[in-house]
Amino acid sequence: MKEAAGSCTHMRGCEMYGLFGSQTLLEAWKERFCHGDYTKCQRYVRTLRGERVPATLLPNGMDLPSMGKS
Amino acid sequence: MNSAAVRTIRFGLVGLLLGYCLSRIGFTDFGEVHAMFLFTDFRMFLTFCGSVAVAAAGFLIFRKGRAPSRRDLHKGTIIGGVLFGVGWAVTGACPSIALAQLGEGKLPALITLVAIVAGNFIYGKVHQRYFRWDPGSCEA
Amino acid sequence: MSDPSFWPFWVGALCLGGLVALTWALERRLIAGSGSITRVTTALSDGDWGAADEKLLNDQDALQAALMAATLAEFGEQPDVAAPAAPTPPAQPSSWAPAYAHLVFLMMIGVGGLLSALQTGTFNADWSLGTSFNEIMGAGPVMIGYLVLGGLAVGFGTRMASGCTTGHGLCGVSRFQVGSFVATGAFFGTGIAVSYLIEFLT
Repeated sequence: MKEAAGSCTHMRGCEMYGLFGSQTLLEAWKERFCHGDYTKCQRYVRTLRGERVPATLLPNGMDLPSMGKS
Repeated sequence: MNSAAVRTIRFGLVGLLLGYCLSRIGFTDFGEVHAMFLFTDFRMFLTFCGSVAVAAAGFLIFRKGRAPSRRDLHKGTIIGGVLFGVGWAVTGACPSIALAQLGEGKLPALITLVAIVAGNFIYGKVHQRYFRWDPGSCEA
Repeated sequence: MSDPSFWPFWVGALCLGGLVALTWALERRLIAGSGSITRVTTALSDGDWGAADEKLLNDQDALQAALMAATLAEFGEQPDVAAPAAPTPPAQPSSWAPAYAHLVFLMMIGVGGLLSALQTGTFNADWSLGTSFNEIMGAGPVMIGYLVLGGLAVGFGTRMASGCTTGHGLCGVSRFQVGSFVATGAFFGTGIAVSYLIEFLT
């Protein structure tokens, strides 16, 4: 898949983007996905496939609830 | 009371007011909706236009924090709109209207509702299998 | 002419438009019947009503811990990130709500209809959509046929277009969104055409 130009078109309403907020440490996510190759973001991919996107799905496909547990 | 419960109550309140307004306006009456489309009676059409105008004024006044733009034009917009228009003219209902009708005691609205949910579900499957266009947002 | 118990157009406009505006002002939320139907339909089919997600999103400590753990997992180490060079769009206040909240919203629309009917003395639980439907479209099995086919069209079409009368009409056109103008034009125009067709055929 060729590198996507510009930023993700779904950013404005994205729950995960909102969670990243303006925290410096979480900027890395935005750099890699939202403003980077957003076509690799699992939220974007699933939306285009017509699948439901849980609010807690991370761009890399991992699930936030499972992260909290060690 | 925790925030989830409060939020749910507020959701419910908005729904209550919506159903009440739709009913008092006449959107739940097939004859009124039919007359609206035929332009034999302008009341409903003016209500609709007026509501949009009032809402527009409200959005301009309370502009802080623009809402996510989920209504972008996409490949399903026109055909979907046409299909919805056919269904609305035939049943007199959209999802909210069917619910309000049921509340008023119009029991056949239950059929409309089940069919709406079924149609919604079927579309979900059809989109997954055949359509790959971007609906504009990751939300449902 | 309309039954006098129906609101004059300016009352309806103020109340309906006002409801949309106030819901936005106080809740930062847009009203959308078909959007809620989609959420509920999805929840009915996959069984996830959002309670677990909601619990995590409301627990700031757990949420932060999970985000940090995920960042570690994805980037291998605490990423050393400078402040972004270009201004990024601000994050929106969350408008997510669990599917069960949408279900409550939908059910309360029904209650609103009930209250209205009780107030005007028109509440009557019977197997009829009103005399106007019976006269124009028909009663009995014919009515059922129309409701099933029409309902399927409404459900399919509103999801395909990503909105209905409240979503596109009240919340989209009023915010000057192109997609909503097109959608509203499409469904309203079609509604007019089909209604005239019905008149012609009956």
